[in-house]
Amino acid sequence: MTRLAPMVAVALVAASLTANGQAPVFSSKVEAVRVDVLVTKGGKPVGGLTPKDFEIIDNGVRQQVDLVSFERLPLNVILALDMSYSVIGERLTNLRRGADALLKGLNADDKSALVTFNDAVTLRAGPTADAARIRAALDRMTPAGNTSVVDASFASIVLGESDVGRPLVIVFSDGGDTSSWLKPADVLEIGKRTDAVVYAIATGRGPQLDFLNDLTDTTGGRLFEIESTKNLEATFLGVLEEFRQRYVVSYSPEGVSRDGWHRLAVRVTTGDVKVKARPGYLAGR
Amino acid sequence: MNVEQARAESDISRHRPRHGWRRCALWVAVVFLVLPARPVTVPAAPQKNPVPLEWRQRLQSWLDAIADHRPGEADAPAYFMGAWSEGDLDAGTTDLLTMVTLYSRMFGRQVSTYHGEPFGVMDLTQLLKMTGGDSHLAGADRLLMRAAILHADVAMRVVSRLGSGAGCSAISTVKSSDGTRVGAGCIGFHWRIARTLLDAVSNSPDARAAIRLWYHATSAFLLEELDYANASFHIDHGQARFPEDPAILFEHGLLHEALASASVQIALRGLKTSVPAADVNLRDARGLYESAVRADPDFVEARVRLARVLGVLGRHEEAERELSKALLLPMNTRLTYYAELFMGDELRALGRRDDARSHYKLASETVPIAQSPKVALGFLARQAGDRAGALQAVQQVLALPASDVVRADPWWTYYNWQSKDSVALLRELYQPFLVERRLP
Repeated sequence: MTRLAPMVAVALVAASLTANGQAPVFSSKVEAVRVDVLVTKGGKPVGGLTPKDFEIIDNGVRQQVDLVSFERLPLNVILALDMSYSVIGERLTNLRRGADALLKGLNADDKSALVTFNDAVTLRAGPTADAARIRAALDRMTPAGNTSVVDASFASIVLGESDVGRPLVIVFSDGGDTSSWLKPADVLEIGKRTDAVVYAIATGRGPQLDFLNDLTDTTGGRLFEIESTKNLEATFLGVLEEFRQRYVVSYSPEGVSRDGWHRLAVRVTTGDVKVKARPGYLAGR
Repeated sequence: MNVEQARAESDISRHRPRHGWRRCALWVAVVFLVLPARPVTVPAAPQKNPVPLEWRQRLQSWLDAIADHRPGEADAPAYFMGAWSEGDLDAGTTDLLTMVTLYSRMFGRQVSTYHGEPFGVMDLTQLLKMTGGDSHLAGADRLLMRAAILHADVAMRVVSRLGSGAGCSAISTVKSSDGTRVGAGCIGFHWRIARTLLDAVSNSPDARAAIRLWYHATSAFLLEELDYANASFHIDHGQARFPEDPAILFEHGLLHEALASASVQIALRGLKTSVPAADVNLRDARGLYESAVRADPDFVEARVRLARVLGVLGRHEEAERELSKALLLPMNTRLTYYAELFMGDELRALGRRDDARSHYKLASETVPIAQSPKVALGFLARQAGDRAGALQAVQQVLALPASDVVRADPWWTYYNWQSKDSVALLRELYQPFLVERRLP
């Protein structure tokens, strides 16, 4: 595993994971890259695409797409929720409702975990397919302290990619980082190496959201900047729906160097559609 | 409020924990300049004015409070003085310093006039309570030093219990918690009065030592309280009086390092403030820490903080050199933790990943319950593509106790911690005044 290009799994990962539920073993010679791709037309997801509809350019070299899957892989959802002092009262109530709505939207074979952060980053429950455990943990949360959103994002990415299933990290935060040890640039580097997709929901606007904006961009996710937490249920469900409607496109890189930054361009050759995918990945040391 | 009321209030307040709120919300008070378009309400001064307007009565009651106050306590004299308005205290300061000046210059049967009243040496001796008592300080120095201690105690222990606006000057400050602005505070005039009184103390070695300790201890208090607004004025003043003192240089550096921190800089975004950007504060901190280390090469705490600032400024080789020197010196547990953690980061920045890992591990062993070195070890592993190693480190983090109070990573309180805290320093400051024979 250590030789694999990060963010990257392997050809036929879908089949191997769903078939036996175990982590796949890969050839050391053939590494496959997995890219989460959202294809929309008029704001609505486009289904029914096959490998021949995708074109992937890795560092300027066109690649052969091996596999495309859509809505088939179980998810590994890591909820990373801000439990700093500022998330009190109505915000906490709304956050619980939002997370609960997401849990209700999970399928039986999906897993989820609850990570909370203030100064401390803590695993409250999971990863588990038992949403009731996550829900019970949500009810026990009490806001206090400062915000370690950078450390929490790192821990959640590592946790997300540790289990089978498509890793989806959803970060909710209402402010800038005030107590992490890691620097934003550190976690952005890991974001380039992981195949986890990070979505973020953040209250307010401004430069304090730079980190979450960069991290969601780097991993191919999206930042939702919200004015109020009143509609968090819809926002969380929107994230889940959007993520489910993404394609997982796999290819085995050829004609490109193994290490370093790989700039990716993902296109769909049919129809007038919009494509969203990570801008690239970092391989090697 | 009269003295009896003040005494009753002091009895109630004595039982309140000073730091009881600290884990709920860290308040950072930072001075800001108000834009004309956005007027800010300055907290109102206390409504009651119990101070007699006649200058001599006012001075007499102040001198009584100075004599009666027990250093380190929120006692009745401290509450009594806490109710004074800034104007009365300013006027009283003029009177007191004039009397002290007259006292120090007069001799024999000389008589001077103030507010139309004649004063001889004996009159001043009685008024200023210069007779009796045994102290390490000479008469006027002792009086002024005790007065400064009284007003520091009012600022530290009393005004927050007197309600909004008590002890406030007209300069507003911002209060923030977790990088979010949560309200307004103020610059306290009792600090200014205390500093003004100390400016009139002589330069005798004993007096200088007492004043130096006063600045060191009270600055430590303000830094611990994250009250950077008052600390800025305070430490600037102390530094002007003791420009070469390593302890005050260190605290000045710590102030600037804290002002560069994310929690302060985030809270100040969008405000027109007197606080410079992070890089400016870091450069100032670096210069001050370097001066402290030059003044005292064995000042290991200053060296560790200097190294951290150098690292943040991207000067990793210099930072590594400073930490190497620091790690050869004796250090307490917490400082060792910081030094090892910082060393890990500097070595990582220099590409020495195995060495970095060793130092992160040492930091983790020094404070096993701390989150930061474990996160750093996880990052090192994940950066190298070692997902299993990263997961192992992250699982150690996630398995730590949920409560951030129990977990208590020293990194989280890096900006409001010194090896010698304000409690110890203030105790040292008060001690000679507690054992000296009471003034008549």
